[in-house]
Amino acid sequence: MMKKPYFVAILVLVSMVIVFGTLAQIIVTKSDKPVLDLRAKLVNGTVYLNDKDIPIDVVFRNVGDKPVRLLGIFDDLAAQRIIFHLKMTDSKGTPIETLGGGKISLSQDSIKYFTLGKDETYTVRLNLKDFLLENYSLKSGSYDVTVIYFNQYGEDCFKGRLKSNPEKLTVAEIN
Amino acid sequence: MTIEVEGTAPSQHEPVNIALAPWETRVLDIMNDLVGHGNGYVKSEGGISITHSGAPGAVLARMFISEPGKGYSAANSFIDPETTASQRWHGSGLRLKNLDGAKLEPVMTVRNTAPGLSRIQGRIIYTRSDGTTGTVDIPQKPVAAGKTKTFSMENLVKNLPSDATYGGIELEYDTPNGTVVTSVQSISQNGDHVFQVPMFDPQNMPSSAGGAPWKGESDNRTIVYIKNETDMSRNFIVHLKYDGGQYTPGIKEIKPRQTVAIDFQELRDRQIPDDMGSVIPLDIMTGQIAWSARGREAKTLSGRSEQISMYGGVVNTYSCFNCCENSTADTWINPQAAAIVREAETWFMANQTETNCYQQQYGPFVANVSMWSSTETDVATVSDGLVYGAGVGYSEIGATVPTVLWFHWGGGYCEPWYDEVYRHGSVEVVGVEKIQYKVGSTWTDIPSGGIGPVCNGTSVSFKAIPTSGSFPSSQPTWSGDASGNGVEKTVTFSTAGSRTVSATAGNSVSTMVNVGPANANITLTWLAPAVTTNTGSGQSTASAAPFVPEYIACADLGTNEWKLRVKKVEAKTNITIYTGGFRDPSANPPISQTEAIDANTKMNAYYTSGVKQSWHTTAASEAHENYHNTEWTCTANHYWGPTETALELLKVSYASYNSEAAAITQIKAAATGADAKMAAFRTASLTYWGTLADNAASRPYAAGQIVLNGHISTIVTLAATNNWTGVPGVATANPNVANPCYQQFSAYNP
Repeated sequence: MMKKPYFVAILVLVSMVIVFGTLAQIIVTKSDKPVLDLRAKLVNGTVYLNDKDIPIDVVFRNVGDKPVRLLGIFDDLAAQRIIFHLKMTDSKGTPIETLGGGKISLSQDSIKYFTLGKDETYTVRLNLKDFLLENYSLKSGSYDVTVIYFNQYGEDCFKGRLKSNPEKLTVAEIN
Repeated sequence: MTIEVEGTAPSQHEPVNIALAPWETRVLDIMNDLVGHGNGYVKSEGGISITHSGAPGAVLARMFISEPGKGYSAANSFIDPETTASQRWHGSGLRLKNLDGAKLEPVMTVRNTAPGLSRIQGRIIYTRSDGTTGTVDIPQKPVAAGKTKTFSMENLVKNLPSDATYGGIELEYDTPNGTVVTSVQSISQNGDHVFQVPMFDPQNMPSSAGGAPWKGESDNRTIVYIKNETDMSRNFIVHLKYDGGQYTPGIKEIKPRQTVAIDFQELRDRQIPDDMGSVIPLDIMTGQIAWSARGREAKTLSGRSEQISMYGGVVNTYSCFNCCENSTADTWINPQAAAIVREAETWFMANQTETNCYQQQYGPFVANVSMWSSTETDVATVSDGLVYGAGVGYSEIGATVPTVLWFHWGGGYCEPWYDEVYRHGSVEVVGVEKIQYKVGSTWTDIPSGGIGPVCNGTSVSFKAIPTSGSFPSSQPTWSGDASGNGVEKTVTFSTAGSRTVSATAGNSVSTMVNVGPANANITLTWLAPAVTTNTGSGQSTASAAPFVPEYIACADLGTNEWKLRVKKVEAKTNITIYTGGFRDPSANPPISQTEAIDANTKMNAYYTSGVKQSWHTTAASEAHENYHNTEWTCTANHYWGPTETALELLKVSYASYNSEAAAITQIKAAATGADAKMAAFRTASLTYWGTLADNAASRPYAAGQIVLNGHISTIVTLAATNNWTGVPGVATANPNVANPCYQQFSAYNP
């Protein structure tokens, strides 16, 4: 009974706590201070049109006071395309259509978790080209790339949306 | 002076001598004062001769005759035999019928003052209603010396055409000049009207110009008679000046010997326009008539006016001659400039004004032109002032116009100075060079392929450009989707497809206008989910395929905008189904009680755990992922409405992009353009989709569980058959799959 006022307060702040109320202590606080920070870092700031891959590192950092558990389904490309979404714009601000977003049916044996302690980081390497439409060809120029992470799956783990810093990508003519 | 009377009973015994003081006027009764027998009477024929001792012209005499019993009265003037120059007497305006069409009896009275017999003969030249003339000869009549004879001409005119109502009379005699005087009258049968015809010596005519007052009240008719005294066709002009205006029927031709009657009251009442298009206002009742012969020869025409009151029984004759014929005052061509289209015609005319010898000005009127000319006959030809547009260009239209100035040297002598002047104007023969259309406030040439697509329901303003100069009034004519006349035309297009607008002014120029479809809201076109099956043991997914929009753009030229229109948007869910990693109870059913318990326990746990278990079916996965497709469909459908509205508010300057494709490219690429709107649409949809639970006891697992429940029931049946115990049945019989988009939609303002 004592927790009821507290629960109502969290309900107002973050809707997902309705389902995973027990996680509230891990991923959010009363002051709504973020528990995770997401940073994007292009491995190569300048790439070439004929590059097969455009690797980009996505770094999760625990910026809270308590450990944070993450659903570890980062190795599977299909799963990556569900939980990561790339927002990409060209130098004029025109959005570049990308893949990403959707639903995934977890199987019992595929569910893995890992925990980030305070200030610990975890890096996932994505290939930006995996998120471009099949028939899309990058043109030379500069782009802003922002990585969005969204997870609604798992138990006792972080659920919600994280948005990275915009990263500048320069695509040069074929070397 | 001595006054000698002939034709009384008793006769005058001897001439009477009387003396007139300077400027004195005296009225003398014939029987009392001149014959001396107050109880005598005046015979039906007679004459009076007056001889005076004063200077020529110092005495004026008039004689008034009346016979009240017959309603007859007449005023006769005297002539001076010394001033006659020929053996002829002419008179114009001999009326053959009264104004009401009643028959009149023409009567001629001849007095022979010669010492011997005089023979008189002549002719009546009548005028038909069509302007043609006819002649009736007056047989020779003898008149003894000193006698007066009256001859009725009724028999001469009784068989004339019914439309011959007036004419002229010409008499000649064989005694010396001035020895015969004549008086001609047309008398109504009741005697109320006596139309006196003043006779004059044609060799002693005044100028062929004069004037008369005009009264146009209901019962007052003023008829002007002009008579050609020569054997050649002549021209004359007559004007009516009234308070506030002037009316000039124009220069008229008069045939040899013809008499012409002009009735301004009839011209006024019938509102017949003159050469310049003016009419006499109906409320004009008085004015001043002026007439003049045209040409370089003097004394060719005679003229007078006659005022008639039918009900008052009064007829007055009036003749006042000017010192000379009228002189040309000014000449110009009208219009000074004109524009016509190719193959069209327009009239040019020469206008003049003239003055009488008292410097009173008349006109303008349409002048006679001796020659018309065009400097560029491949552009315009001219005939009698009618200009024909032969080809596009400019030509000078010239008119050679006769003019005459009359110099009055006194003593009734006038000398003409004849000339021809050249006056010119210009004609522009135009066609349609092209059609322009208005973009915002700027007129722009229409490209060869036409314009468009223009937005359905919007208006486009067109302007026809002439080959040169400007179009004539009411040109060009518009057709196709446009109609009417004028240089500019605004058309509202409400029918989709290829439309045509044409401008015609001699030639036609057309342009095609591609009109876009009427704008209507569309719904997303949902394609069947793209399902990929993988035999591995991975995790099935349902992802949102990119939306595939198809745009068109239409031009709102009035606002100088290309506007984006959404033609179609395809949407789809990509589904990947993994068929491995589990045992399918339908393909590989449990073979023992233990397996049966495990199978149903695991399959019941699908819904309650939100995780695919080791007993599972592909159909259940398909049901699960298809449910996600249903979620994605209702999600995107919800956010599409405001997205379409936002997309169709996007626009770019029409003038800046020369094609629909270029406009669409720009509208898509702008920072807040269509691509950004679609990205926002996708983000909003994905965000909402993420709020739809996909875990234990959620609707997607319910969809899969419903499939699995069938297998659970089958295993229960199998267990019963095999007497297996402890096998659980369906744990969740009717899990909730209703209302896939059950969460409240978030606010969205793309």
